[in-house]
Amino acid sequence: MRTRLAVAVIVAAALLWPHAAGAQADRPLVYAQNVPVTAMDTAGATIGTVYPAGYEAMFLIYDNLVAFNDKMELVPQLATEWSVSPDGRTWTFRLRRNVTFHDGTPFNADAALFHLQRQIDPQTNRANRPLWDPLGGAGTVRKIDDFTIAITTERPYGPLLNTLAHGSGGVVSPTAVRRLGEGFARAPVGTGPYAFERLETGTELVLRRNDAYWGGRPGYPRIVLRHVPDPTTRIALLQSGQVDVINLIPPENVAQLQGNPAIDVISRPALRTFGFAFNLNRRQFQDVRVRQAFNYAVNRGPVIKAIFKDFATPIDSPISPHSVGYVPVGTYPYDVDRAKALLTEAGWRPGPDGVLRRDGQAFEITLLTPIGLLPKDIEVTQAFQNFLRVIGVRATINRVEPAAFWDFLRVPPDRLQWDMVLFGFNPSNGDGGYHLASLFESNPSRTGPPKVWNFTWYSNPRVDQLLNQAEGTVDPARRRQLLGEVARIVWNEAPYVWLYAENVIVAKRKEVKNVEVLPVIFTILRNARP
Amino acid sequence: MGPFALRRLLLLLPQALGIATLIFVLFRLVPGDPATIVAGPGATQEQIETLRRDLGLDRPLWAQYVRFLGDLARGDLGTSLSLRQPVTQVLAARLGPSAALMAASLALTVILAVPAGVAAAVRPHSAAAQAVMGASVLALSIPNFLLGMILMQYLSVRWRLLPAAGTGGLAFLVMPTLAIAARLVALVSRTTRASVMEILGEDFVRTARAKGLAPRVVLYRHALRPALPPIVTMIGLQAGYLLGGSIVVETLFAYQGLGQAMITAVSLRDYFLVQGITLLYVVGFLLVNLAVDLSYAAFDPRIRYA
Repeated sequence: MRTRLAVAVIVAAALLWPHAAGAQADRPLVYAQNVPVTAMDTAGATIGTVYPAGYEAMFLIYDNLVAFNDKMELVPQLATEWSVSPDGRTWTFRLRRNVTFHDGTPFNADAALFHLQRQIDPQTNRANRPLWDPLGGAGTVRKIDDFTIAITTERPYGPLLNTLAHGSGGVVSPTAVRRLGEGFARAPVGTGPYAFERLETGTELVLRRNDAYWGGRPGYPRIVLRHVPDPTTRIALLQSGQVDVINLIPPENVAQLQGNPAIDVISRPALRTFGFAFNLNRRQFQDVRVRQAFNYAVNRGPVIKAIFKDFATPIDSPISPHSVGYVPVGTYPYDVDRAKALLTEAGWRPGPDGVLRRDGQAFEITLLTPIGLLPKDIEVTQAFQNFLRVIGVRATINRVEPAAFWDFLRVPPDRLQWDMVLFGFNPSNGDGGYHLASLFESNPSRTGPPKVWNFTWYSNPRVDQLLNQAEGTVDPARRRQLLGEVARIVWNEAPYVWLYAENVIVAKRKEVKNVEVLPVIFTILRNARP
Repeated sequence: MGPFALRRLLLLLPQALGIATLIFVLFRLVPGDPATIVAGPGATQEQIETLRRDLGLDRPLWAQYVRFLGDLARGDLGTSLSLRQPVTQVLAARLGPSAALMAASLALTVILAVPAGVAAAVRPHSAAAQAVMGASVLALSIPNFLLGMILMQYLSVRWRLLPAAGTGGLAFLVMPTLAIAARLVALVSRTTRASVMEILGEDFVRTARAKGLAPRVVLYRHALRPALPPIVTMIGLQAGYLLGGSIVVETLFAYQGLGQAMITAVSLRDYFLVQGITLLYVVGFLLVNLAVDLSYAAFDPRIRYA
């Protein structure tokens, strides 16, 4: 009996030992992410980085010329100051001195030019083309002196600074890129506060402190970005103190975490706005009254309360209040009578079974939703189905695997297999103009897939013209005016049933300070301190 | 024994070829074009065409098949699209943790279930036997991910005894192993009990008892060996569950094995990685079946000549 007890004690000790050792001081900062970090090159030659994990890693490894702070304001980083010429085409940047890359390469105008040219050239960078193309064409980047560069664009480009602050604007070491080629994506070198140490692909990324960082000594000896797909597991890891920061917390788990004195929950309104997109190629949706009726049929408040526990906000513009260029443009209050009246005007009459009919045709549609790709997608779609039933529209839900979802959107218009689809877009450069153009600018051709995400095939020459003007406008007030006009037209023409903007919810251990959460769904750890 | 094993081994080759073919065909039937996926949103048609040529997807299906088999024979499973690493490297890195998890689950099963089943068979009406059978019904009814979450909540969040998730030392293996093994322990203990009880009713057992052998000797030397084939069959049949269960449980515990890689690969549409893992799973399944068949032959000499 006594030997058995001894064996049990030894086994228990062996099991517990590694765990106990992990709790000691000088621990790294461990961040559990819902998706893995794979590639960390700013210029994706083939498949892009995994969002948001890849960019979150890149914001630790690289500095940008200019950066977003957590209010989405543009602040200096590797560029200390900048100015734009009166014609809005030439931007001059003064660069920070005494900065070196992790591999010892000095940062200067040549390095900045190397980075910009590599991003702009579609041969070396296939990703984020809508952000970088406006710097291409007849545009140039040139060196004025060792610490001054100038970017001249073919025509004025309003969101230029947003592009530079985007995740793909991280400045890479030219020596390392030349030396490593494709391999650079898995062994990145930048000037940021943490340097690449080790990547266990799909598992974890380990970064070490850059002791020579120009912005002062970073807070942790190491930062570990760990892939933990299951939200319950991320929460358990945080509660048990095994990790320090976790992302993507389901709204229903927030209360449980808020009750824990060792944990802080950070919730910020995100830039991603959601809606049900109409397939405007369908005959019944070509009447704007029908689309507006659908908008009046949805009671957004209870949906947000019940499904999102109030961690979402109804929208009053196609873009989020926190995007550049936002102005409130309207609301569609919950009004079933008005919805029914609009449908009657459009020629739809209820049949004996309560379903609307026109020319003997019942109003029956399909709603497409991915399974668990967008927050609460199934629940929201079911709620919408019920709202439609009230106004006499019979909707069937078609659920698809997350990985297959995009194939239902990125097809030519005659191959669309749905009538309405739940969708959310996040302008990752913080710019409302980019958001509106991605969704509502006319596609160049009806024989191919949509150029960006205009899979409703919305097309309005006035909107195209205004978007074009807004992109070519550098003055913020004028841009807001133009984008506000776009938002108003699109809102009233209603190619979507407008719904809500989500909140991005992150949690951390109390002892970790300065964790920043950007509305573009990024958790920024570069300034975190114990 | 030798020729039998050899024949079974040789039979593996056509089986593996058939399955590789099936996988090749199935993956070409899946909607979605890998070149479009790799190129990512925002790629032009021209870029997609270039990639399709690079990946060899523009060639006729038979030519792709020949190339696929050729690569396979050389041990080349392609390059993971999302992880940008040869698939074989990913498999090599992930096989160890998964094998450890499965081996631990099987070991726990054999250590717990066989003695429990034998004990329950010897005294079928005792309180202990009833308790074992009751517990096994409970263990059978609870899904492995739920059991995993309960374990995580108590053993790590409340009591801080074990790390909640991750891969590393033995401590990281405990909860995933328990979550996977619970169902196996239940099934195997029930099978063992049934099988041993049946054998204990046989004439030769009565004879052994009648000639005055100690109950222990009767049980272990005479009854247990003929009772083994159904038990081993049950364990072998559960190999599929072990693979499937490992996918769910590894994902829950962020355990860096093949199952979790499979889920990640599917969600990132990593065509070649999914294909590679599927192939490895199927080969593993075949090998387990082979081991089960060979073990019959070891337990029952009559099978060798069948």
